[in-house]
Amino acid sequence: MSFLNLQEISKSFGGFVAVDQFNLEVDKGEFVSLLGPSGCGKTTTLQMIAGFLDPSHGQIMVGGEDLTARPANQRNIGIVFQSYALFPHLTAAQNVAFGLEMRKATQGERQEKIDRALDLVHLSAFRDRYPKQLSGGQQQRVALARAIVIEPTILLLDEPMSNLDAKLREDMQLELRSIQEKLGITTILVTHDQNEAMALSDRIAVMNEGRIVQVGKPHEIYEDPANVFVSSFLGKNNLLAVEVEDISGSKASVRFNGQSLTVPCREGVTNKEAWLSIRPEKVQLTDKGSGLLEGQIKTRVFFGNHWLYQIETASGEFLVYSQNTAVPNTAPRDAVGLNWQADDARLLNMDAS
Amino acid sequence: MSGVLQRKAGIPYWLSLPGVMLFGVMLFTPLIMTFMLSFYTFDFYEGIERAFNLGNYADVLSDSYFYEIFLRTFGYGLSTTVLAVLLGVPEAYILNRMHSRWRAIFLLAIIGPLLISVVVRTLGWMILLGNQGLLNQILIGSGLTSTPFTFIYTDFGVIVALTHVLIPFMVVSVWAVLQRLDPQTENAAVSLGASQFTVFFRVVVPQAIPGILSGSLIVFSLATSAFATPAMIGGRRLKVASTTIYDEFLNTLDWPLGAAIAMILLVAIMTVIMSYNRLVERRYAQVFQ
Amino acid sequence: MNKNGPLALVFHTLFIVFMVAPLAVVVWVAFTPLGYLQVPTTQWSLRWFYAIFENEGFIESFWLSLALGIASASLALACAVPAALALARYSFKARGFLVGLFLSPLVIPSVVLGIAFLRFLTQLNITGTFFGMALCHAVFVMPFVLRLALASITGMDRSAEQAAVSLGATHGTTFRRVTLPMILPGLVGGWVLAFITSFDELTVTIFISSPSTTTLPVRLFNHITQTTTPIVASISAVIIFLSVAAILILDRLYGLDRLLVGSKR
Repeated sequence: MSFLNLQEISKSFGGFVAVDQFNLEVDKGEFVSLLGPSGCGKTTTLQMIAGFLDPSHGQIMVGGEDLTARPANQRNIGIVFQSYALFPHLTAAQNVAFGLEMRKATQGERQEKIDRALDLVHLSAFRDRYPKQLSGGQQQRVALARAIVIEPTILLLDEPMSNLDAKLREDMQLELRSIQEKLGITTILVTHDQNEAMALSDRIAVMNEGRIVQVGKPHEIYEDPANVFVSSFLGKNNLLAVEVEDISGSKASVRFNGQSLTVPCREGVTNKEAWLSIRPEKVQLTDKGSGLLEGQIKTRVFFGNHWLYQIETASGEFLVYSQNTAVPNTAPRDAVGLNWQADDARLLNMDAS
Repeated sequence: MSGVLQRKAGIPYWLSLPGVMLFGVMLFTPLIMTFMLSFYTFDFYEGIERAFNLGNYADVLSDSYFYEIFLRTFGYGLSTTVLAVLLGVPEAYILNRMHSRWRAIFLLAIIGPLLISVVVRTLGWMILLGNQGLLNQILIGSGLTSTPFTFIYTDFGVIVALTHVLIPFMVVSVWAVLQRLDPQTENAAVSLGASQFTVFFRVVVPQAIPGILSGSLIVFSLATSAFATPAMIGGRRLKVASTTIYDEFLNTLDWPLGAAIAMILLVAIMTVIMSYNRLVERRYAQVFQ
Repeated sequence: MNKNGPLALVFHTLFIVFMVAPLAVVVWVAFTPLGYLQVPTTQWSLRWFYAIFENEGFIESFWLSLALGIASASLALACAVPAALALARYSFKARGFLVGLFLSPLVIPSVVLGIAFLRFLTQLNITGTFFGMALCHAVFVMPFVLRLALASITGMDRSAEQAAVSLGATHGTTFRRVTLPMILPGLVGGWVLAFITSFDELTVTIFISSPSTTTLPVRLFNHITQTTTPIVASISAVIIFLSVAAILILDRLYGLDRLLVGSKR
C-alpha cells in the first residue's frame, strides 16, 4: 500500500475540466514531480492535495486515511509556494515559529525545533531578519524551513525555483534534494522545468490537458517516451516520418528514404504512418554517402561542452549535438551523412495521445 | 453541499452590510428627501409646505437671474479647466523629465496643498489679490501702475484661485500617464529629426491624452461645484450655483428653491460627466486599453 | 534622463511660485504687528499667534474638528474594511453597484451633500450634534478609506494566507495574524487621509454645524467673510504647519503620489 494515494481525482470549474481522472500512488519518502506546461492541471492537483480546492470527484488518501474532506488547516501538509508567501511582518524565526504556535508547542520545544530547522537551511545567522532584508535564495530557505519544521506528512513544492537565477537554482536543487533525503519526507514538486524535474525526482508524472500522460523514472521517461508530447517536452528530438512495414512484439520494421530499419516500438503504434523519434545527442555526423540520411549543414553553434548543428535534409530539419572533443572539420554548407544506432530511435504514433 | 454554497454566497453581502446601512441611511435617504423637498412650496409667512409641484423648477428655469448664475458657474468651470490644461500639462511633462530626487520634492510642493484646507489656500489669494494686496504693492512699487488693479471680486480672481486649488489634480493625472510611457518614444522621434517642440506636441501630448481627459473631468466637476473659493473671492456679487444654494438655505430660508437649484446642478454635472465618459470611451477605446 | 531646457525651467519656477505663493503669503502675514491683513516688511510680531490662545471659539473648534476627524475616519474604516474584503475577494451580483455606491460621494457636489444632510438631520432633530456630524463626515470620507483598503487587499499575496492555513491556522487566526498585519499600512494611510479630509472640510460642514458645534474651517470661513483681523492668517499658518508635518510624514511612510494619485477624485 502506497503512502499517498490519489484516486480518480477530477476537478472542473464550470464547464472547464482542469484535472481529469488523476491517479497517482506515491511511496513514503519518495520524491515525485508533476511536470507539464502551464495550464496542464498540475497546480490544481497540488491545491487539492493541500486542501485549498475540493476535488469534484475522487479521493485523497494519506497513510490509509481519507483526507478528501478534511480542512486545509488540519492536514499537516507543508507547502513551499512559488512566491514563498513569507509573512512580511514577521522575522525569519517568527515565520518558522508560526506553524509550531498553531500546534501549541511549548516554548522550549519551539526554540529547539526552530533552531534545528534554520540550521538545516543554513540560516541561523539570519533568524532575526525580516523577509525584505533577505535575498531571494534566503527567502526560499526560510519558506522551506517553515514548511518542514511542522514535520509534515507530505511536502508540496509549487514551482519553488522559478524566481531564482540559473546558478542559484542549481545549488538550491542539490540542497533541496539532500535535505529531502535526510528527512525522508514524501515530496511532491510541481514544475514546468524538465531539467528540474529530472534532477530532483525519483519519479516524474508528465501531465498534459488535465491528464497524466506518463509516469516513470526520469531516465525511463526520457529514453522511452510514451508519445510525441512527452518526447518533445523532455528535451529536444528529431521526428522522421516513416512507413510501418511490420510490428512484432516490441520491435517494428519501418521504411524511410528507400531503406528498412528495425527499431524499438511501444505498444499502441498501429497506424501505417508513424514518427521515428531520435534524440539529437544520439545522432552522429558521418561522411557524405555513409549515413542513414543525407543532408547539408545549415548552421553550427558552439555551446562550450557541445556543438549544435542544424542540418537540412530531404525529410526536414535535423538537430545534432556533438561533444566538444576536437575542433570539428565540418563547416556550414558542407554535405554530410547522418547516422544513429537503430536501438536509439523510438517509434511513436503520429497523433499526440 | 447546497447549504454550504448558500452560506458562502451570502458572505460578501454580510461583509458589505455596515457600509450599506451607513450609505442607505446617511446618503440615499437624505438625497431622496432633498429631491422631494425640491417639489415643496415656500412662503415667507407660512414657511415650507409639503406639496408636489414643479413651481421651483419653473422659477429657476424661467428667470434670467438664475441663467446668469448657471452661466457663470459653468464659465468658471470651463475657464479653470482650460487654464489647468495649459499650465498643468507642460508642468507634468517637465516634472517627468526631472531627476527623481528633484521630482519628489516638487511633486510634494504641487500635490501637498491638496491636503491643506481650501479656506486657507483661498485666504492666500485674498491677501495676494486685494487692493492693498501684495500683487498691487509690487505693481505700484515697480512703477508699472499708479492706481491699484481690482483683482478681488472679479471673474479673473475667482478663476486664478480656482485654478490654483484644482491644478494639482491635473498635474497628477497627466504625470501618472506620462510616467508609464516608454521614454524611448521621445528619443525615437528625436532620432528621426524632430525638434523639442515637435516631440512635445506630436509625441508626448497625444500619448498623455487619457490623463488630460481624466484630469479635465475632475477639475471641471470640482470647479463647477466649488463653494469656498467663489464665496471668498467672488463675494456676494459674483454668485455661482453653490453660493446661491447656500444663501437660499441659510439666509432666505427658501429650502425648496435651494433644493431645486441643487438638483439642477447635480443633474447638469452628472450629464457632463457621463457624456464625457461615453465620448472618451468611444473615441479612445481602441487606442488606449 | 533627458534634461529640461532653460525655457522649461523658467516655466517650472514660475509654476512652483504660483503654487507656493498663496501659502507663503499667509504665513508671512501671520507675523504682522498690524491690525489688518498686510504683509509686514519692517516689523515682526507673534501677536496674532498669542491671540489664538485668547480666542476660546477657535480653540473649541480645533478640538471639535480633531474629534470629528477621528470619529468619522474610524467609523468609515470600520465600514470600509469588511466591504473592501467583500469587493476584493468575491465576485457577486451587487459588486459593481456597491463600488459605485461607496465611491459616489466623490462625484456628488459637496453643496448637494450638505443640503441633503441638513434636510435629513433636521427631520431627525439632530442638527448640530456631534453624532449627526460624525455620521455625515463618515459618508464622504468613506471613498478615501475604501480605495486604499481595496488597493492593499487586492495587492497582497494571498498565498501567505494559504501558507498560514497549511501551517494549521484557523480562518480567524489567519485574518488576525496574517491578513490584518499585511494590509495595515494601507488601512492606516486611508484613515489618515480620511481624517485630514474631514478636518479640512468646509462645504458640507457649513450646512450641518450649529453655533455651538462649529468646526475649525467653518469658523475660519465665517471669520474671514465678516472681518479681516490677521488672526485668520495666524490660525491658517498653524493649519499649514500641521498639514506640512502630516504631508511629510505621509510622504515618508507611503509616498504622497501613491497615496493621492487616483485616490483623491
